[in-house]
Amino acid sequence: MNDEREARWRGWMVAAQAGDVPCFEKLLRELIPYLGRFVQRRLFDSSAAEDVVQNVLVSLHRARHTYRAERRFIPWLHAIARNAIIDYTRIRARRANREVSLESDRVPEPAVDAEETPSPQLSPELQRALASLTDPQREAVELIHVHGLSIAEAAKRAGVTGTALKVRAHRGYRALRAYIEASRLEERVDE
Amino acid sequence: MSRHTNEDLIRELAGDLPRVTAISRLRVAAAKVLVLWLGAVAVSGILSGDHPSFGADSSWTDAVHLSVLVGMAILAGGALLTALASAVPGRERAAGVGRAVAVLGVACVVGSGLWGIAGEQAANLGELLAGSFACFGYAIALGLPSLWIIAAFLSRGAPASRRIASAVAAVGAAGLGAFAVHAVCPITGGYHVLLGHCLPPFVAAGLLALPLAALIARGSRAESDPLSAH
Repeated sequence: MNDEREARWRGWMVAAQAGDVPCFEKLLRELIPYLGRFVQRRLFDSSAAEDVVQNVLVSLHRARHTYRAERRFIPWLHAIARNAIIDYTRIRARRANREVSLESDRVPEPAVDAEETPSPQLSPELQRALASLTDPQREAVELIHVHGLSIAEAAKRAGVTGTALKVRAHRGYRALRAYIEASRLEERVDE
Repeated sequence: MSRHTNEDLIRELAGDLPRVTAISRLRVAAAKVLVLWLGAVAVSGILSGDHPSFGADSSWTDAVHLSVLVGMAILAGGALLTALASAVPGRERAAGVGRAVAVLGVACVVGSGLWGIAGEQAANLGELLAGSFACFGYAIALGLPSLWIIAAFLSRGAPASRRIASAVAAVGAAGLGAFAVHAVCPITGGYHVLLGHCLPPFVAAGLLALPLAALIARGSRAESDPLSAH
């Protein structure tokens, strides 16, 4: 049973590395309940478990090139999941410390408003590249990089989960890079 | 969070799925590091005329000299394995073996270094530092090409902690450099060996860990975040 599952997931993962979208979707759908149990056993916090599982899926997507077909898939997946749990625990501890210190200092936190935060000067090239993005991607990139908000603050402002915002920003970065590379290539051709 | 959100995420991720090339095998990465190190040692040997005497002088029968050499090889090998394995999720066992070997190497190098100065009259500190500076610098310089390969591997991989991986990588690379320097250096004085040959890996870790971690982070980000390069 376990060997069969291992072989199936490994096959899908290898196909996903080659860009096979249906196999990747099947893999992620099967992994969600498995990862849910894995994370919950280590986190003891069911409300956070689903967030961590989504972070694992994003990490799996980003680090998919670090999987080698001749090695077992499940230990690789467990390592990715453990790292996501450690990251989550670290962030939660940091946030808790900050909340405690704010509570004790009683310093009113100034409201952060991305609309009012002065934007740093962007080069015309970057402004054109940003304008080429879809609205959700541009919003994610601007909130994080132009206004300097944290993922949590930016996600709250955009009205989506932190994971969804990270995915949007990630796709925005890729589109930006493609745009910038294409425009530089055009400039070279013109010269 | 609802199932609908998971479905959205799956669609978002699957919508951005270019073909990727799997990271190279650890042994291939290790071989590249060693080849580059050997190249650096060969070039340095040709330029300076230094080469190991292999038994032509008394240092090759000296127990302290040999135990420092063996310890440095163990330390460099263990640190190299740890650093490379830490870049690949699922290779924790290899990283653990590397850590154990590296700890053995540290004990061997530090123990041998201290054994070498036991009973030796300490020279003037200024003279000692001046005399050891060249070997110290050579050891780190000879490790830099290898460090570049390890850093490239780490930025392509997914280390759990970039700072720790960088520190260990610096120990491994400078350890390789120190091994080469110790093999060719004709000076066998205990304090010179301790400062000029044994110390570089540890100082390199302290000096290079943070800048290297920043470089690795920048390299990793450049894959997905073009704004960081602007």
